[in-house]
Amino acid sequence: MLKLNNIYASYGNIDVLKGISMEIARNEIVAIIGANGAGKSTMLNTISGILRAKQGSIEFLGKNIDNLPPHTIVEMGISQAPEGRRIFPQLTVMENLEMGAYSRNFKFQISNFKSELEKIFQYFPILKERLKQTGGTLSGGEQQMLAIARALMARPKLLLLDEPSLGLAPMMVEKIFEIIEKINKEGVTVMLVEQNANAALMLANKGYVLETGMFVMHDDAGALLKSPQLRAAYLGEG
Amino acid sequence: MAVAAIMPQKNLLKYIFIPFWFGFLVFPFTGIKSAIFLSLAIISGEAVFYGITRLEATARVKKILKLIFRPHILQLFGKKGGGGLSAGSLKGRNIILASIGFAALLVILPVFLNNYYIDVLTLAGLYAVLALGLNISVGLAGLLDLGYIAFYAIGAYTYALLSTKLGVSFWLALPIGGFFAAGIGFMLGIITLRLRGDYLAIVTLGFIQIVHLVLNNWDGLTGGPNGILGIARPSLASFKFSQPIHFYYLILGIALLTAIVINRLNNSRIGRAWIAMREDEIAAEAMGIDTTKMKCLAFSIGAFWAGIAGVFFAGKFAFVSPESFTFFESVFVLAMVVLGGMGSIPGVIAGATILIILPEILRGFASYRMLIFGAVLVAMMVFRPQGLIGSQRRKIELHPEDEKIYVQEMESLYEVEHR
Repeated sequence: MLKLNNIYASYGNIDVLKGISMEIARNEIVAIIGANGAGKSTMLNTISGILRAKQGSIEFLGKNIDNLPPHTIVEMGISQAPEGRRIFPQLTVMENLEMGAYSRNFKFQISNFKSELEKIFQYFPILKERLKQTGGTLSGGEQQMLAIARALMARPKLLLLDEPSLGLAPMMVEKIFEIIEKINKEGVTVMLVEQNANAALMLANKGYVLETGMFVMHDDAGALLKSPQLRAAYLGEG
Repeated sequence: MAVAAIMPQKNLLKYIFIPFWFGFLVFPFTGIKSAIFLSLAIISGEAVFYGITRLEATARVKKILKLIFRPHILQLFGKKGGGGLSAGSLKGRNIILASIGFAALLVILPVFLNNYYIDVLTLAGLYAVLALGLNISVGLAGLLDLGYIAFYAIGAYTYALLSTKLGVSFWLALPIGGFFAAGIGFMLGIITLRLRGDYLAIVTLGFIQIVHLVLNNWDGLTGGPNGILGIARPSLASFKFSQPIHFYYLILGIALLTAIVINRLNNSRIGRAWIAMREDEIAAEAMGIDTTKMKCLAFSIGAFWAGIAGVFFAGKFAFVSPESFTFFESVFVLAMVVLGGMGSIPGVIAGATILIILPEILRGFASYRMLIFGAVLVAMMVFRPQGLIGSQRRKIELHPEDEKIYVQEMESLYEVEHR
């Protein structure tokens, strides 16, 4: 579905991604594991088009997307819940969700919008209670839910999640990961970027390990979980 | 209401300290007597501001009373029970009635005023159009534009040149000036795409200086510091606009049109995109908003109204010169937007009206005029940083009936204010 081919990306003179290649098949959950500064968010931003790749190509559903502006990429079906949630704090929850559907407003009717909302509320019932509150008054976990819900409103084929567990209590992390699994079962391909290697790999089909801008390992998630190398580096064992 | 009750105790010291601190600062220049007088004047000004805060609370009490009496009112109209009308539509109807009343007042008002006051009101209308336009880039899209007056100048000079050199009529020049300014605004938008906040402000500051210098030095085209004289006044068939009252109604019409268009924009998809962009540009981009397009659109639509205002300016005074289009004017319009309440249309109009009328009212104080004017601005920003009539969007969005959320919202606002 998505194919990265030898991607290089940099901020000014500092190379962040140094030749990344990967592939995601339809309906998969792929986990990208890496420490701070490994280039995880840079990779997602490059896919979303917010950052331009210096070199290499990105293919989505057989089309080259590495030169397209971010709004076209969202329209094609890739949407992102960015790192640190980045919801709109002064807009209400409802307006945040409306902004999520921004890219498709011309293509669907109000009634469709309502049924879409109902679907979102099945995943995140709490948001229904909070609809009229502004985004900034939500708790951290609720904000993360809102960020994911907002990304879903674009009805993506591929959902990019940037550290959804960041700064959340373990119970909340579990809850969010359950929801991600549900979303995936409904037919959305998920790319999950995480520092929480254990939780991410338990959920994913495949895993990639990113270190200083390069993939050092990739394998089935189960195999990665058993790999002593990974356990030593990311799960604090050995 | 709860918030209004907490405020005085928490603020009491501030309310008393700041005026005297201000008085202390100015006493070397004004002498001790005037300084004390000034401090007292600020304190009385504060009382007015405090009154405005209370007014919000009173308005809520009235709303509750209205809800209680609603069934009876409806029965008067022959309907049974309160089911027919929701509180929302009742509120909407009140707003519409109030606006119609206000518009009628504005139409009738000049009949009772002499030419001097009509001129002041016309100026207020002109600046209201300018402030509404600036409100798009500053209040909605969050792009701090210090060079806004340059578009005003472009509009004014467009009509001045078209009229004196080609004899183009005012009505044709109105859209031409608007679109020409919008085009320049679009170009400025492209140039400043990657800039934000302070950096954008500095580039736009450079822009107004460039425009000012060009107007001042391109003698062949703009007449240099002498400006352009003998611009044709607008006329309709055989009717010529000559009396102040004619211009008053003209600017009233333009201002009304501006307010309606900008209000529609504000509540549209584009308006939402601007607000999202202001809140978080990266997130907005990730939502599929074309930020390039939206920024250029914000600049050019704002510039369009400045251009219109400029054409009106040239038409009214029949004379343009670079002096009218300085950086100070830009800051003045920005002050109107901030004072009135960024992003709020009635707020911005109120801001423009007050900043134009206040110096006139203060003429009695002779040389202390600008000092008091400054003191009012300082007091305003200290005690009501969200502006006279802060943006209504969050209040409209909330259920007016839901006391809990309302109080919570007000308290969170309160916290932001006092951080």
